[in-house]
Amino acid sequence: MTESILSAKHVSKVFVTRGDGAVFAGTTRFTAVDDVSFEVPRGKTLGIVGESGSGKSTTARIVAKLIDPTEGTLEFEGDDVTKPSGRALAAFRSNVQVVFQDPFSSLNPRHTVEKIISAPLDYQGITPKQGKRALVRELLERVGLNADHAQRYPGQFSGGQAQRIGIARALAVSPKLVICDEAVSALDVSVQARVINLLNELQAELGLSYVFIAHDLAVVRQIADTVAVMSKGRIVEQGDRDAIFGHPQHEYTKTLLAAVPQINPEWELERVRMLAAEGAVE
Amino acid sequence: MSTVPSELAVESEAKGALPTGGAPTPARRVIATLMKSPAVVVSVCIIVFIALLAVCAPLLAVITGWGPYDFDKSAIDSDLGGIPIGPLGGISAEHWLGVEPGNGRDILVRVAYGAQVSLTIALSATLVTMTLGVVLGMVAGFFGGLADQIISRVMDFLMAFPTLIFMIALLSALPAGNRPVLLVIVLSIFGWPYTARVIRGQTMTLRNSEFVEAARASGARPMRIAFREVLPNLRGTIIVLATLAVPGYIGTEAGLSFLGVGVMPPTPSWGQMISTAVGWYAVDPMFFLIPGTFLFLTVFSFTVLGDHLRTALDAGDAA
Repeated sequence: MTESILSAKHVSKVFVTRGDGAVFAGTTRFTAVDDVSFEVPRGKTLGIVGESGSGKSTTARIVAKLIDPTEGTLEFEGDDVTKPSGRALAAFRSNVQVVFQDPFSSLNPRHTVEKIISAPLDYQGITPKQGKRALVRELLERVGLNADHAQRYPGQFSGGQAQRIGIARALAVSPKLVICDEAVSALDVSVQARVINLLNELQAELGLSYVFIAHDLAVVRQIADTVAVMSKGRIVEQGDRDAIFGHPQHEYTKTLLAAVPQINPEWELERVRMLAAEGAVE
Repeated sequence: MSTVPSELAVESEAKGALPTGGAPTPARRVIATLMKSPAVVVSVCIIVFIALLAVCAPLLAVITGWGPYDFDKSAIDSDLGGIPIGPLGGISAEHWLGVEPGNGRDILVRVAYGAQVSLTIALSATLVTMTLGVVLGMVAGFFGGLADQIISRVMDFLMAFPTLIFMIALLSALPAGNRPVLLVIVLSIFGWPYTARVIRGQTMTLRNSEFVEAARASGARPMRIAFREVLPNLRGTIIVLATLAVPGYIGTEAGLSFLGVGVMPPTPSWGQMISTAVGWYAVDPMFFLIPGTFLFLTVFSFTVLGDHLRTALDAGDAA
């Protein structure tokens, strides 16, 4: 058993909304994440898959400390980070960074690439020893971009390039854990593969740990070491990648796998069997 | 997985595929678009001309030899009740745009000094309302909650007010003092909610954008997010609002001066000249036409420029 860098224990998130703004309307409670527990092994990748509304993005936002969980605890490197404040939160932010889904809307269109990438340094009051400008150039080259493009604006890049800028920003404060919230979902399939390749390389070079959220099983298969499958706010199955993809135990996982068009004849056979079974039920 | 492409592919995607020469910066693109429109070029020329007139007013007084308060009894016919001597309201080599009936003051010099007063008041009021409107609008939109409630109610209150009546009442009641400063204060009090309302709405949209979320995840504090992430995205809106606010204040200032509660004589102002001209329009229509034309051209040029700016900036956002 490998040591885990982050662990979530019995985490739940309930959203309370006031009904339609009417004066006497009651409140609506919606449980987005329901009693979820998982561990992220150090230097490895935990993939979280699920369809829209399964609570995987809420889970990502909880882990990134963008929202607080209603119940449960989070531990990062053994320290409790469920509701950190002040210094503890600042320390957490320098260790955990996020790569967002839409590369363009997550980059401020009015800032140069240099300003975007160095923003986490400015916000956390960190001065890199080689200088900010040099660090930005280093990061740009590390993610496979031209370092001379530091003075350009996000609108001048393609989607894949923009997402590399988002990755460079996440790396600026030398984090230990990077949360990729649907980080490749908005990209073309070929570009997806290259960005995943880059993430795998960075993991090997820098020893990063990832929480990789996606709805696309093929993508998760390429990057994850362990996989958690979410449905309706709960983790229905989790375990080793090969176990999940090879021998799914839960019905939902099987349905998810069956819904993916396959090129492997064996999987295709399984898919046909699944669909046939479904048809028989109906 | 074998679907991962080679290193070579990574290189080509990452480093190539940018348009050669690089796209122009947003500001340069907007200026280029604007300069293609003849209406904008003419408007800008008029605005520059009026601004030069205002700045060079003392110089003009020296060149023509007439100060804004100098009476020229020789230019008017006192037997006919003081109407200017000569055609078109006394236009001559001595007085390029004629003289005021009754006292013979040089119209060109008074229009130039009037431009100084009008533009100073309008630009100051714009500066104050923009600052107040942007700060309060951003606070309301970004922080929401109680701050939003308070600011929004004050805005509702001010916007529901019968502004003109209140301005007239307030300015009549106040001691003469420094009229231009009073005008700026009164215009600003009633003007900022119109800016703040727009800024508040835009801030509320921007607050939920992913790059604000990204800044929060990067460890930014709310104030830094507001000023570093949100404010630059309001730049276009602020420029357009300011450009369209200037003609509004010029018009309101002229209106108040026309009604006798604005700039007090003998300080020249366009509205006041038009007001005086009303009594003379039958015998000396030029006295009404000249300041009226300057007022119209200034307000019209700023409005045209503002409208085109908005169109150009909107097109940029959509692209």
